[in-house]
Amino acid sequence: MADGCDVFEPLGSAWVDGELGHDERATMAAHLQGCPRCRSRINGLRVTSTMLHSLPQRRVPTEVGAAHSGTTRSSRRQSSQDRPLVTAGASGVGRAVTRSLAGMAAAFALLGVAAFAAGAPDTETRTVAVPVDVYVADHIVHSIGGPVSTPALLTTQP
Amino acid sequence: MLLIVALVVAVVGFPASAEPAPKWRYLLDRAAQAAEERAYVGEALWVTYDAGQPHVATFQVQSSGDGDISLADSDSYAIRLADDGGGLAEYERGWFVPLPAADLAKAHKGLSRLEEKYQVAVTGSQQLLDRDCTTMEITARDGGLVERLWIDDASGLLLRRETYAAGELLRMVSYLAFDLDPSRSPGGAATAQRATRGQRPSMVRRPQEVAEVDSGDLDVLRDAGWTVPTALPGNYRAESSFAVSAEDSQPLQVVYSDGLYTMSLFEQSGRPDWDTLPPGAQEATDLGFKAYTWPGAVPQRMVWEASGVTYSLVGDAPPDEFRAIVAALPHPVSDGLMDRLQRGLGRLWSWVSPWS
Repeated sequence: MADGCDVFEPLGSAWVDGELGHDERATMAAHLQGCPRCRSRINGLRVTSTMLHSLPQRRVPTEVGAAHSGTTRSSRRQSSQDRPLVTAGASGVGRAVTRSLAGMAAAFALLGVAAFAAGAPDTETRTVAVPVDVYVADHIVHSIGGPVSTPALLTTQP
Repeated sequence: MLLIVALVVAVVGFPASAEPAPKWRYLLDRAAQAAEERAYVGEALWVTYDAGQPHVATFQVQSSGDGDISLADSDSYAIRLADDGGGLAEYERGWFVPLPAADLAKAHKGLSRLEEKYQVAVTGSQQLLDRDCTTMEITARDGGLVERLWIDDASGLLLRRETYAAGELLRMVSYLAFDLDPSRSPGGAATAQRATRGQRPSMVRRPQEVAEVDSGDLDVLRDAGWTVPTALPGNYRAESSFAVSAEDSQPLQVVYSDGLYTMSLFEQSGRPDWDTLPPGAQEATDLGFKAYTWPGAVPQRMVWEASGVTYSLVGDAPPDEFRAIVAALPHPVSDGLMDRLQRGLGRLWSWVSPWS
């Protein structure tokens, strides 16, 4: 092994990926010219790197994403159901109150509809003839002879 | 002692009772009495103004001199009034309705009431139908001129009457022809024949009985839900009440007067059958509820319904007083949602409650 191989061996991947600085790259290049073992190792790293970069990129299937999200919500529900018993009891009372209020509201609504239907104006009151001309004559009978007595007219269409 | 008493009576008692009645009172008393006791025949002209539109009509007047007074419209109606009763005939439709006895002797009742609301003054003399007449004016104590009268000096009869409201002529009745001897007038004789014996054989006689209702009976009716005000706006006071037995209902008539004008309120239990109203009815548009009136008709008349009761108001009060009276009487109220629900709840309760 040439001098300095132990120094330059950890920098092999950086050399292949082109990540070394200008000074480090010049120093390492001078070493590789005089050390066949390091040159062989760098070549091996370069082939590996090329193979890795030549692989196709793969995306996560949508089914896998949905399943993951469902698992997450399910886990959250499971988590809420796993709450302590005291919390579960308060929720039951709330539902009972809600149901009672809904029932009362429905009963009031039903009563309102029934009252509205039953409160229709009374149309059964009998109708009567209105003999206005006879009323006028009756009025004249009881008003004539007053202090200013004037004959009254009976016709409805003067 | 007797001398002292005589002096006291002479000084204290006599002046008040010996104070002469005002001339206007004498003239009105005489006019009312003459209308009953003088025989005459004439043709009267009616002009009434409604919303600025004149309505004109003529009719025959016949007085027998013994209490019978008949009025006949040339086309359809005739009415006969007498102390012992009268009738109303409608020639075109062929029916006759017997009327109760006219209270012709009450002429003097209203003069004291007249002074409460009005001032009367004799204003002068004028010629009318070539006859000398005394003119009079009646003014409201809180308003202006309401009546102008022409009274025949020879007979004492009222020959012309003009009624004013707010300074405008509201209606006028005046004789176009006048004769104190009916036998000389063939038209008058024909009118008398038709009006007093006017029941043609083909006429249908409508039953009607009228009974006066005293104050005790009125209290009973009030307790039963009838509307019987003792007074109406405009200082109109109830003077008398009558129960009318008609064909299919029993109306209640309450007569009101302010000393000059007379109003009659008729109440019937039931909703009005609008189809039975006489011709000429028009729906009043400015009252806020359904009512029918007869524009230009004299006396004025209006019919409406409230809470299952039919009200008919008939009278010769000025239009503003007439409407104030209508407004003071029951009229329909708007039937809102809460009213309907309240009524419905009451009915539901009455159906399920064992105590109802």
